[in-house]
Amino acid sequence: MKILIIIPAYNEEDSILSTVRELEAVCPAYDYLVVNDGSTDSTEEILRKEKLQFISLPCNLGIGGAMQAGYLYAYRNDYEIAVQLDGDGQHDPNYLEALIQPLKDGIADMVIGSRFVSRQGFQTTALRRFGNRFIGHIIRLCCGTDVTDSTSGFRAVNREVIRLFAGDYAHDYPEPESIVNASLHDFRVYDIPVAMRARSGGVSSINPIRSVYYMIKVSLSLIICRIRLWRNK
Amino acid sequence: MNTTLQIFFITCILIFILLILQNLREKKINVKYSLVWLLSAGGLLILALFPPLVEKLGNFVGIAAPASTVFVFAGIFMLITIFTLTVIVSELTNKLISLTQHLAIMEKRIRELENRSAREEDKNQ
Repeated sequence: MKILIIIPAYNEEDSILSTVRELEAVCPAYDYLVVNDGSTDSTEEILRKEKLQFISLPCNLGIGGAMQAGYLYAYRNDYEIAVQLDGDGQHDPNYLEALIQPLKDGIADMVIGSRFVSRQGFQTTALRRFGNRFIGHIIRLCCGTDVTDSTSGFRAVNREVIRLFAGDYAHDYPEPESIVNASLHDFRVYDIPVAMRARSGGVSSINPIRSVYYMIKVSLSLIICRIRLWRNK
Repeated sequence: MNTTLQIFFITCILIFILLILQNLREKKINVKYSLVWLLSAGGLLILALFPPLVEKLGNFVGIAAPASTVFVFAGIFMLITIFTLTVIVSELTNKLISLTQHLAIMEKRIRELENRSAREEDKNQ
């Protein structure tokens, strides 16, 4: 089974090499692809020097555009499963097997690694947990799907979802919106417990002060996504 | 509407239309994008040429002063134009994103082919 691990990276010079090396050590059988999203630091030099597998976007598209490039690559190269693994070292590759298993068994089309199912490992702040629950409610209202960690970037999808995302992937708030998008296309979305680590380098792209504003914008984009795909359900 | 104001309006609109045509002639703007400007300029010109039309229009929607009618309709034209621009910018953004992604994937393919041909040359030597 052809499996591709997509690693979006924007200014991750401190952590990208260790992330890839760890992945290679834990899952040598899987292909990976780093998507350098127009980094302004030395991420690209590291990728070239170490001869890692990567594509390099000439301008910064944001996480949505970068992930879509990965899905496009996966689709074109006939991968059957694509996994997103963040380049900042937060996601533990030891959970990859657990993430992929439901797809292999054919009981899910999209699997999300959730920090909140069993509350192991690194937890975020109370505000972000509340935000996550709030967005979870909005997602349930929009498409009836129950997820505990909608903003988790640690996720795996099968071939049909790869095809959907290669053509239609949200650019502004891709993590929650892609769940709604997949659900409204009648794909089965599940979450499984994973433990996440504190990031090993770089700065989180989400500023806690802007969290409330973020929640409003995400809710709006989810509702718009629901309206856009009205006919699907 | 007094005559001086009317002449002022007409002159402005004519200059505007000439500006659009000049830019079109030099191919600085696309015909597709100039349509919304030409249509709104044409609409405004008709209103400026026939002031009674402005009054009738004002009475029809319930605006007392003719000058206000002109402003209201100028505002509507601008809303349409600016919205059209947002649509155009969004289309361009989507195309740019798609181009960027395909370019990056293509670059990887070229890199791999170059590496492969370099290896083959090494073998032949």
